Amino acid sequence: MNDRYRLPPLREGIKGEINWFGWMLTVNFPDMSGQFEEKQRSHLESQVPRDYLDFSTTITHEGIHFIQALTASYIYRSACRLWHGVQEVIQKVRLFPSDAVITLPLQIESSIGSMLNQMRTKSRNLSTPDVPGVSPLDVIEGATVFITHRMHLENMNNLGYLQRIKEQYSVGNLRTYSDAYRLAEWYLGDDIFDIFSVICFLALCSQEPGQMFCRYVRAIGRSGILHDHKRLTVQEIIDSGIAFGVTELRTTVQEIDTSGLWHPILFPYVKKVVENLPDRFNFVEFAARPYECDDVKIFRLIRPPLLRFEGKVGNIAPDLPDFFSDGPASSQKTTDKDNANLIVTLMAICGAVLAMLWPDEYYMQCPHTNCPYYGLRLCYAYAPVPPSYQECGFIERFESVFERSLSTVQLRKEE
Amino acid sequence: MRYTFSIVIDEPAYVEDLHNSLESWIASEASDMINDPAISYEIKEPAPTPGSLALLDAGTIQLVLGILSGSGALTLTLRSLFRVLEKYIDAHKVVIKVKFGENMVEVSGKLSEQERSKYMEEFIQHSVEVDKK
Repeated sequence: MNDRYRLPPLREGIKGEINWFGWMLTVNFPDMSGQFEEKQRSHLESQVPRDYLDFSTTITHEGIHFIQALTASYIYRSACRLWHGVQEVIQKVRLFPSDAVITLPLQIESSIGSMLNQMRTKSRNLSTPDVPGVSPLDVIEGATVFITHRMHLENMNNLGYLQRIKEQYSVGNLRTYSDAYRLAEWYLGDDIFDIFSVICFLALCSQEPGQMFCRYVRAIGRSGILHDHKRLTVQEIIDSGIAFGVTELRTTVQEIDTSGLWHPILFPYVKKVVENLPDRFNFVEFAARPYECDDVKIFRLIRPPLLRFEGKVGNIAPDLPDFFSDGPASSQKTTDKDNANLIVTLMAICGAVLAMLWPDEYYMQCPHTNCPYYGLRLCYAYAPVPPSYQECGFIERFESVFERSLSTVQLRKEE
Repeated sequence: MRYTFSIVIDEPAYVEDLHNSLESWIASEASDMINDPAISYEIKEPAPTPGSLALLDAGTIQLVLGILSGSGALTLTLRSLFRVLEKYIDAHKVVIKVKFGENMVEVSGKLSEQERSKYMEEFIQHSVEVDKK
């Protein structure tokens, strides 16, 4: 990215985000990237300031989501479906006459909303007085918070973890980070500590992670297997599930082999990772318990494509896969700049589609309030903030993809 | 004009309690101002941007105040808000940061009238700058 373009902060209240479309990771802290490389996996808590601990664990948290996408079929499949949903909307918009005015919100059918809602819908297969059920998002976030804690606080036990999630994640939207663990702990007690991330991973290899998570908790509880053996392998847990009728699990690789689902960012990554894993490396065991892996090369291989920080620093992973080689529009020569540009464009356009379907107060990182299109907020997901709105790359990208002038888009006036 | 404050407390366990305190503040001390048709308010929970997986800040409350420009209520409301936060900090021995735009005020004890005025001045100046763009 051009040096003149600054990297903006996220909105307040969010420590970090990873985008479902471009898989770019954003962290809302001052730039501490240099320190991060050196201290990534050290025992941090008592040695470093709280901000640094937060920064480091936030990067780990979002990085774990990327590992999940490359290993567990539910996340890969959801990303592909969201991508296809976006493409459908683009195709429908292109069918409007190019000079017709489009009024937002778009009045067209889209599968995106129901997919995003489905991720938040709790399966009530199991519940406790405090936890009404578990959604796919609860499984995704519950596993990620758990794995992050285990990576950074190696001496933590079940009670310590319960205390932490009670203090930090027990109210409102924050419960999504702790509901799955609290539910499983209610049924399985201390024993959950050594198998929680495995159950989450297996649930995320299914079609319905919320429901599958509950089925595994039930199956393991009924089997009594934890009486004799606390640290079960992934295969032992799969076998426990099979005994209770739990089948049809797929890793991301199996999903690609079976369904052929293609994602412009994730597919090349999966291919690259699989080709470069060491011989006899147990990828499934790694995906289920990443905190037990101390091979930095593996984490380097699976890090997200782009990082940006509030401290005006952006890093492109030096070993991006060629996003164009397997795609519909393959090219002979692809540079890192082309690859990074694809991620930025993809995020911007997918963000614009969401904002066209559901206009809202999306957080605008851009300070150029005098831009004629500022009020539309369609560009909220466009990463580089230009020196002036006249130099912004969003408009060109929008018009190229939607085949219409941005000036033909307007918000419905409030009555 | 809508003013968004992010109130960040260093002890996440107190968020719900602080949330309740802000609600009480709005219902009692600030009721005259909030009930004024010139002012609206909303206390929001942080939420992920659509289409992303986010790690939310466990200690953040977003307070959005809608105040008509030139109503004179902004100064009164801000002064009152800082006072309620100071009382809270005094009672619970926590640190609270109030962020607005790119500015941030850390309140770790009772502010002097001079400090309070300085922060309010910074806030108002920043808000006006944003408004002009």
